[in-house]
Order: sequence, then structure tokens, then C-alpha cells
Amino acid sequence: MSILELENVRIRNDADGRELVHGVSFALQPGGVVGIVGESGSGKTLTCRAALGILPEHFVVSDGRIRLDGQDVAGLTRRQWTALRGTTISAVFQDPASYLNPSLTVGSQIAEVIRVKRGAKRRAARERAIELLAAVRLRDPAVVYGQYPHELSGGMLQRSLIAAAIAAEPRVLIADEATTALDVTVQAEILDLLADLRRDTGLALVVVSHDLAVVAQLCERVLVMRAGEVVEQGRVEQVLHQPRHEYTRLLIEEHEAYGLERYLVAS
Amino acid sequence: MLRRVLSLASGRIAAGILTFIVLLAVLGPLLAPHDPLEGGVDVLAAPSGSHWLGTDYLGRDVLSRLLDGSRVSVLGSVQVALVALVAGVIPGILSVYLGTVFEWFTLRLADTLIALPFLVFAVAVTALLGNGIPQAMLTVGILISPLFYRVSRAATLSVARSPYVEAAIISGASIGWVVRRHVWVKVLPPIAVALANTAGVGFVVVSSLTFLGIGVQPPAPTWGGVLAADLGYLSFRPWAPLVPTALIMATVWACNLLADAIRDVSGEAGRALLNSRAVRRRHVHS
Amino acid sequence: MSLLEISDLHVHYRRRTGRLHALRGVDLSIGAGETVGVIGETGSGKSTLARAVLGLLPVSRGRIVIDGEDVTRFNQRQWRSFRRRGVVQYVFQDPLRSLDPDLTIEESLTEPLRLQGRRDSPNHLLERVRLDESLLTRLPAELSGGQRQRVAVARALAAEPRLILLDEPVSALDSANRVRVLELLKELRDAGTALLFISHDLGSVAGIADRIAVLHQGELVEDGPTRQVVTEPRHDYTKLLISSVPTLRKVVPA
Ligand SMILES: Nc1ncnc2c1ncn2[C@@H]1O[C@H](COP(=O)(O)OP(=O)(O)OP(=O)(O)O)[C@@H](O)[C@H]1O
Ligand SMILES: Nc1ncnc2c1ncn2[C@@H]1O[C@H](COP(=O)(O)OP(=O)(O)OP(=O)(O)O)[C@@H](O)[C@H]1O
Ligand SMILES: [Mg+2]
Ligand SMILES: [Mg+2]
Repeated sequence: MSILELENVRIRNDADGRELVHGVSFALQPGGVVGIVGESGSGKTLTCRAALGILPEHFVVSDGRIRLDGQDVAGLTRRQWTALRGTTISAVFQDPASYLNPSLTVGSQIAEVIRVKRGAKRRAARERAIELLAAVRLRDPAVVYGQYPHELSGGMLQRSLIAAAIAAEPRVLIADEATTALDVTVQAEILDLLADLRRDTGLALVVVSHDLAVVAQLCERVLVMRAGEVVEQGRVEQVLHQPRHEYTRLLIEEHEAYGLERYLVAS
Repeated sequence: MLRRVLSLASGRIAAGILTFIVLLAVLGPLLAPHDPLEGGVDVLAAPSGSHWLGTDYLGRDVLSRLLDGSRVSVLGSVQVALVALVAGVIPGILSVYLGTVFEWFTLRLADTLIALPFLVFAVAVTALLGNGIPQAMLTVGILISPLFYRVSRAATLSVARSPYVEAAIISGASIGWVVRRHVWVKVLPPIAVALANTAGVGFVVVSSLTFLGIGVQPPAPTWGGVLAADLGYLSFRPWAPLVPTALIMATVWACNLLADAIRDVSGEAGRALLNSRAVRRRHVHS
Repeated sequence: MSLLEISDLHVHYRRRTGRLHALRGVDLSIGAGETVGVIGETGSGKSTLARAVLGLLPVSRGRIVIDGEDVTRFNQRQWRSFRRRGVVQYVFQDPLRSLDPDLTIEESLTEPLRLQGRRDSPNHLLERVRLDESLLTRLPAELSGGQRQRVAVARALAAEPRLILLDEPVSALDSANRVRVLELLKELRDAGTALLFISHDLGSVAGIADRIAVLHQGELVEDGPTRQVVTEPRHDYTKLLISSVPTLRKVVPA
């Protein structure tokens, strides 16, 4: 059975009546990975937010259905959502710094998640948090634990946020540009970590990325979005190898225009 | 912001009560059916057609005294809040920008003011400066100002090092520009909350000072004064203190309700700032 | 003449746990119309370098000369009047936090213009980064990640600076929009603007930079023409970086 299923989801901004996402469908099995790529502003983040029940003010799912672990989320109360977030579904978003409280140390915020969601004792939560910070390949996990968000570099913040997101051992992780601030060596390690989690715990992933290479490496299926529309959807090899829609073709072409390929092939 | 506050039920209730109280303060003295200072032979009378709330130990009409006293009580607490605002917010914001000497000095001053026992200080100063509403309220306002100092300082600190302020600085913004354009709106919601709270506190303080006979000359009526008088004759009119108490409590409650409503509507940033343990923690550190 | 000349730059952060030596003797210079890419692993000091150049961090040792002026020992007032000339601008790594959440996009874009005493409207800027004018009245939280990033680039262009430090300016953009922003930067470069392009995305850097400098734990371990750094990397970190770049071809053979 799928752990997360979107069926023709449409999202509308009630403030001005405009529809911003015109029907997204996909199903995600435990251990599965689906990628979403597409134009900036095409509705990728909105779709993810809908699945987490955190659409911005005035935004509503105007049509379609979202099922989380077999349960239609439309009828969930705020309290039920709070219980689900973190343990069943979790997310890492763009702009990592805005999701952390600037005046608490990074570590204490991760430990808090572990204590609240897993019911761990203070000491155990601290140890687990440091373990997690090490798992996302931070060099001095114990030092990072005691630092405030503004004392960390962009990439360190993003890794801390990934640690926080997997702290409560969710079954679905939404990674919205979760590796953008990481250089390729670290990115590869994080992708490995996620792959391990998939294999060992059946974690299912939704990966939003502008980096086609990341999507190609990690995902089984991929959706290509443009202006709120899914223009193409299918198995990764097929979509990236034999794109049918011209926008997908454009994406792939431009991806290579500035890639290293130029130099590497030339040499 | 006002519109958003009023969109909340709690905001509307608070605004309703406060409007009523302010109307009382403005119109109260005119509405009073009797002269609040004129006694009569009918001492400690029960409520009746001519004295709706009865009379006090000098035979004065209690309803008239309450109505007449509302102006002093309300004006007093507004004065307290304004003094606290001016004496607290301006140094609070500037302490972040004017360098370490000013910062150190204002921080120590705030600590000192907080450490002083509140009522004792108020009593002492009134004794020095004379007994009058402005003196008493000035003192109380200054004593409360550290709250505003800290709230505005914490809010300013949290904004001062944010990247968007740095972005303005990189383009050549001066301190004045940064405060006007970026800091001010972020400091406003927490200050509004503090202000609503202080108005409540100020009210209690004004009432308790007048209860103790400080700030007003004895015959002039205030809610606290009426309460004090009522308490002296509990055995004759046991229910009497309820009326001034209810008025005081309703006002304070409305102020707190308003404070909560403001907190609820002032965006993410304001909310995070106000709720976080951090603000309190930062108070302790700084 | 160089627009930016950094010599033997040392920067320390003070922390509760002691001092962190974040930059250790960095030497770098950028001439007019030149683009230098700075790459390095996370936490290697790339943002620190940019912030030190902008006077946002105290310099412990070394010299920074911008457009012929030694700014190393500038006081507040000198910095302010220097900045008002609009010589140098910065695109922050985190676009969301570098835009005031209470100001509309239009107000944010106007700010650098007003600070220079200019009255013109910023509308033409949006067009340059391919954003719709309808976004002008929105708040930063109401934009998508990539839209915000382009607004941040647009704001840096507003003052028409001669030196722009860009901290990951295309990290959140899809490849089509990334190409557009990179084209825009190339236009600027051809018009004589000097660019310091910070990124861990080797692909974008290689596509635009004339030279690449590699930072590793606060030290500049490599600095050379792009082709040379990419094809004959000398430092171990650079080698690792280049060999682990994921390319579509590895996964999807063309
Ligand atoms: N709170 C909001 N109010 C109004 N419009 C919004 C809001 N949030 C997003 N939008 C608009 O909805 C559209 C889709 O936004 P979304 O964040 O989903 O894009 P995205 O696909 O994630 O893009 P990116 O790759 O740039 O992050 C955009 O045009 C954006 O401007
Ligand atoms: N305000 C600060 N206080 C203390 N330490 C800091 C501060 N800012 C950064 N650091 C530390 O300085 C080092 C360099 O940080 P910097 O932000 O320059 O890295 P970066 O190269 O930009 O990395 P990224 O690619 O992840 O953005 C890191 O170890 C970081 O923890
Ligand atoms: Mg997005
Ligand atoms: Mg950085």
C-alpha cells in the first residue's frame, strides 16, 4: 500500500481566486523515491506543503485527494496533524535558517524533537542528537550541538535541518532542495545516508530539486512541472533519456550547457 | 494591525470593554447623579432608588464616586504606560546602536530599577515630590520602564544582526535609516503587547496607590479609594467591594486579552520572538 | 587595475568555546571585467571572505583594497560614505532572510536606490532577472525560493555596482533560469563589472568564471585559470570535488 498518495491535487489561492497547481498525482510506496523537477515558481513547494498540511494562509487544496498512510488528510484536525508531522511525515525545506529558532542552540532544537516525538529522556535525546549530527557528516557534532544558527555556515545549517527532520524517524521525508547548499562531496554522502535509511527503515522520499543529476541518481520516478502543470511524468531513465515534452528537453539541454561536461569531455 | 486584532473574537471583546471604560472615564463625571464629595445623613445605606449602589461611611453616593473616579483611575494608568513607554523604548532601541558605554549604563540602570521594591519606592518618592497624581504616575512609569527597555532591546537585537539589515548597511544605510525602515515595525508588536499589559498593571498600581491614599488627596474619589472605603465597612455592606473590584478586574482582564490578541496577529516573526523562551533568557543574560 | 585586492587576510570568530580562525592568510585579486569563482566545502570560509570584504566582520590581519581605497581600517562613517558610492554589492546566501519580511519586493528593491539619493523606479530590474512585475507588491514569504533568489540578485544590481560578490546566487534555480541569470552575469562582466562568484556548484562556476580559487578550511589552496583548475586540479580536495560531480551522462548515457 502506498504511504503517500496524491490524486489530482489542485491548489488555489483564495485571496485572489487563482489556481496555482493544476492537478498533481503520484503514489509513493515505502522505500520509494519520487522526484519533482521543474521551473522556478511552478508549484513544487506548494505541492509539498499541501502534503504536510502547511499551506500558506488563504491557500487551499481545492480539488483532489491526499492520502497519508491510507488516511485522507482532508478531515484531519490540527492536533492530529501535529501528531503526524515528524513521526509519519517530515520535511526539509529551502531557506533552512528560517525553520530554526535563532536564539536556541541547534542541538537543543533537535533534542527537543527527539524528546517530544520519541519520548526520550534528556540525556538520551542529547546523545541521539549528536549521533544524528554526525550522521549528516558534520565535522564536530558535539561542537555544532552547542552552536546558535547564525554561527553556522549555510551548508552546516542545512545539514542540521536534515538531522532534525529524520530525528523522529519519519516514514516519509520531503526534501525540498535539501542539498542545494551542499557541495557535491557532502551531497553524495547525504544522498547515501538517505539511501541507507530507505533500505533499512523503508523511508519513502519526495525529492524536489533543480539539479537533474541529483534526481537522476536518487529517484525512480520523476514529475516535471511547469506553471502549475505536470507536463511529464514517468520512470527517471525514460523521462531524462527520451523526454517527450519540449520543456523537459529544454531543461536537460540547459543543464548541460553550463555543466562541467564541456571541460571534462574536451580534456 | 488594529483591523486584524478586531478580527479576533478576543480582540473584539477586549476592545469593547476598554471602549466602555474609556467612555466611563470621559463621561463618568457628567453622568454622576449626585455630587461625589457631598455627604449626607444617610450613612452606609443599602442600594435604593436614589442611591443605586448605596452610600459610604460619610453618606456619599457610591455610584457617583465610582463614575467620577473613573477618569482619574484611567488617566493615571494611561500616564503610567506612556511614561514607561518613552523612558523604556527609546533607550532600549538605542542601547543596541549607541556603543558599549551607553549599553552598559542603561543595562545597569534597568537592573537597579527592577531591584527596587515597587510600592516602597513609590511611597518614598511621593513623600519627596509631594502627593499628586502626576508625581505618583511618573514614579510608577519609570519603575515599569525597564520592562519596555528589555522588550524593545530584545526585539531590536534580534533584528539588528539579520541579513536584511546587513543588506541595508551594505547599501550605505545609517542607524536612523535602519531603525526607521527595518527595526521599528518589528519592535512595535512586542511593545504593543507590553503596553497593553502595563496598562493593566498600571491600573492595579494606580488603584492600590489610591487605595493607600497616595497620589490623590483623600476626598477625591478613585476606584481604589472606593474599594478601600468599602473594605473598612465589610460587616455593614459585605457585597460592596465587589463593584469596584469587578471594574478593576474587568479592565485588567481586557488589557491582557488585548495583549494576547496583538500577539496572535503580529506575524511569524513577532510571534516567535514573543513566545520564545529565548527572549526571557536573553533578558537574564543581558 | 584591480577592483579588489586582498592580501594575507585573517579573520577570527569569537565564540564561547574559543576563537575560530576562519580565514588564514587569503590572497586574492579581481580586475575589472573579471570573474573569479570561489569554491570550497561547506564551512570552509567562503561567506566569511565575502562578509569581511564588505566590512561586516572585523579583520584581524591583512589588507583589503577596493577600487584603490584601503578599507581595512575604515571607521563606521568612512564605510557609510564609501558604501553610498555603490561600488560594491553583495547577494546573500539566504535570500529569504536577506529580504525584510515586512517590506514588499518593490520596497526592498527601491532601498539601495533611495540610499544613493536616486528617485527612479526599480521595475526594469525585475525584467532583467525574468520576473513578472506583478511580484512587486508581494512580500518575500509569498514568493517561491527561486523567485526570491532572483529578487536578491536584482537588488544587488540596483545600485549598478562595479564589484559584486555573489554567494550562491543560482543554487535554488532550475537549469533554465540558472542559465538566464548566468547570462545576465556575463553581460555585466562584459560591461566591465568584476564578479566574485561563490558556489559549491562547480558546474555553474566553471561556466562563468575566468579563474577559480579553492578554499579549504580557511586557506586558499588553489587559484588558477578555470580550465587548468578543472582539468589539472592540484589539491586533493579539488580532485575529489571534480571526480564526484554527478553528471547526467553517468546515469543516463546519451
Ligand atoms: N504565500 C504565497 N502567496 C502568494 N503566492 C505564493 C505564495 N507562495 C507561493 N506563491 C506563488 O505560487 C507559485 C508556486 O510557488 P512554489 O513555491 O510552489 O514554487 P516552486 O516550484 O517551489 O519554485 P522554486 O523552485 O522557485 O522554489 C509561485 O508563482 C509563487 O509566487
Ligand atoms: N557568526 C559566527 N560566529 C561563529 N562562527 C561562525 C560564524 N559564522 C560562521 N562561523 C563559522 O565559520 C566557518 C566558516 O563559515 P562560512 O559561513 O564562511 O562557510 P562557507 O564556506 O560559506 O560554507 P557554506 O558553503 O556552507 O555556506 C564555519 O565553521 C562556521 O561555523
Ligand atoms: Mg520551492
Ligand atoms: Mg556560505
